[in-house]
Amino acid sequence: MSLEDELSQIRAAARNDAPLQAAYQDLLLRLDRAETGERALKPGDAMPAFLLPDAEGQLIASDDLLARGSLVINFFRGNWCPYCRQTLKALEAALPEIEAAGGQLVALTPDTGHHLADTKRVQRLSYEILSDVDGTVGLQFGVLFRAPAAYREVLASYGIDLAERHGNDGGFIPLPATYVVDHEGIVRYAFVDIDFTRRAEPAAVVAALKQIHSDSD
Amino acid sequence: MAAAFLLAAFLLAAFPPGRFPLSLPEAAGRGGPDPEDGKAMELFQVRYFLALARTLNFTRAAEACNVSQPALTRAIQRLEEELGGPLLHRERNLTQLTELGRAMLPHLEAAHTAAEAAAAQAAAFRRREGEPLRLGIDGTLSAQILAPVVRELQSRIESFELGLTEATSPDLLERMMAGALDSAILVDAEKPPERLDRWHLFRERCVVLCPEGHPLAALEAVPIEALAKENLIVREAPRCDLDRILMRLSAAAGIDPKLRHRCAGEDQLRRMVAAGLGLALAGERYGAGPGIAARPLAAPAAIRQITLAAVAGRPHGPVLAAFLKLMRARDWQLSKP
Repeated sequence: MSLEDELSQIRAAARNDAPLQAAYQDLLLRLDRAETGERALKPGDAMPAFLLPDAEGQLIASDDLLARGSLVINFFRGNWCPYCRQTLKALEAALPEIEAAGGQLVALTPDTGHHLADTKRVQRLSYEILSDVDGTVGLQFGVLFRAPAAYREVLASYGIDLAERHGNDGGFIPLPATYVVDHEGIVRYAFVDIDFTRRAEPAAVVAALKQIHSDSD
Repeated sequence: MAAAFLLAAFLLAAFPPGRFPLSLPEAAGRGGPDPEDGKAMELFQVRYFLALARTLNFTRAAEACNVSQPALTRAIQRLEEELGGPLLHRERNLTQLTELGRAMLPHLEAAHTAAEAAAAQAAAFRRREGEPLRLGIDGTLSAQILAPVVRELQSRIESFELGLTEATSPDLLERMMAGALDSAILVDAEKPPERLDRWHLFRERCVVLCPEGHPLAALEAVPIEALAKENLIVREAPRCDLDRILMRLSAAAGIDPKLRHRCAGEDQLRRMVAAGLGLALAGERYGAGPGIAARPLAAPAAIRQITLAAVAGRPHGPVLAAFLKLMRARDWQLSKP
């Protein structure tokens, strides 16, 4: 089953939740209107360097990762989001293929504190979960936006406290985005969607990595 | 909290990735800022707004920014769309910041701080160099809680230099505001100054330290009334939160505890408890010590809040910026000593 098949099941289950659907439609309208995502990084762009803490309390430098090869970067909103959880699991399942194609995988979230380790443990992930503290890397990639008040209210009604999770009250979350970057730091594949229920297929990520490999042969 | 955040957002969003002149000087050679690129306008929006906030005059702000007044006005309008409301009241002879404008100003002013920190950080960690880190920690907290973060910095920065100050939280706060400390781990900072960025780390219970074999050591939790007949050891340092908790709970329970002994620090305190001089209150995570039992105080109010703090708007060096990120990303729930 593709990731999209699994995501469509989550979408179907959420269809009866009227407040959530209203907030979701409002969010899509606003993002579309503001052309959010238009300034996101595109293939051919240089990736900004980052230095972020992982769930084990180590600092991970993008320079060090790129020195070892290509990099897959997945921006996710947090393990409070069912679409993110499904995507994280699908990427874990594809990890052997990603690594066989010469890629390293990291996932970035604006969450801080115990939420990183929780995500890794609960979703049983073996790749690095990095805290994009205050969303600064997401901003540099052009994938961060301020969640509209109505959407934040719906999240709060589900007990999701973004301020507590982020350690700031900005209410900024990333668009779901997946990037494949070659070892020179140039973006070779970009998936960015204002619709948070749509995600990059791991197969497309693996294909992009293989393409980098064949280009360099 | 996170005062620099919004400001950083605008500055960062202003530069298409790969063209961020402050954090990515080496990337500029690949593309270089394009003055015709509409996206780059957003940096100017912030700069124009800061000039406007300073001059409260569109003509003078436009002059200061070396642009036409219509260009400045358009940029401000776009920024207002981004922020969700007017930043300025425009009247014929009077321009004033709106409430939103006043609220956004400190965030926007702090943007340069955050951007410069990001630039310096990438370069410094590449060179394995960084500034000395001057930390403060409340004397009733074990410096052990800093060990994993400090070890990580030590492993990344060859010239890593740490100054660690131990004092009461109010003292640390004063020293930090005076510029003598970069960051501090505080307990229950009361009435924190506005210019302070604070991040919640964890909560911990207050425990009663008693010699092993003491009758109270047999209890699962110690009711405050049980301290009425005990000799207590307190810290010499004034304004210690544990003493305030003790006095507050005692007053509420109508008891008058005997504060018989005084000591200078956590080590002495534990030696005195072990020697049988009396009982003492302590934070749960510090640990008991040899010959001592620690039992939680049975009062819902006997909880301390531990926060990480730094002065808002002050430039963060690469090491301080990394320290704050590591502390905020840490799983404090699991890292009890």
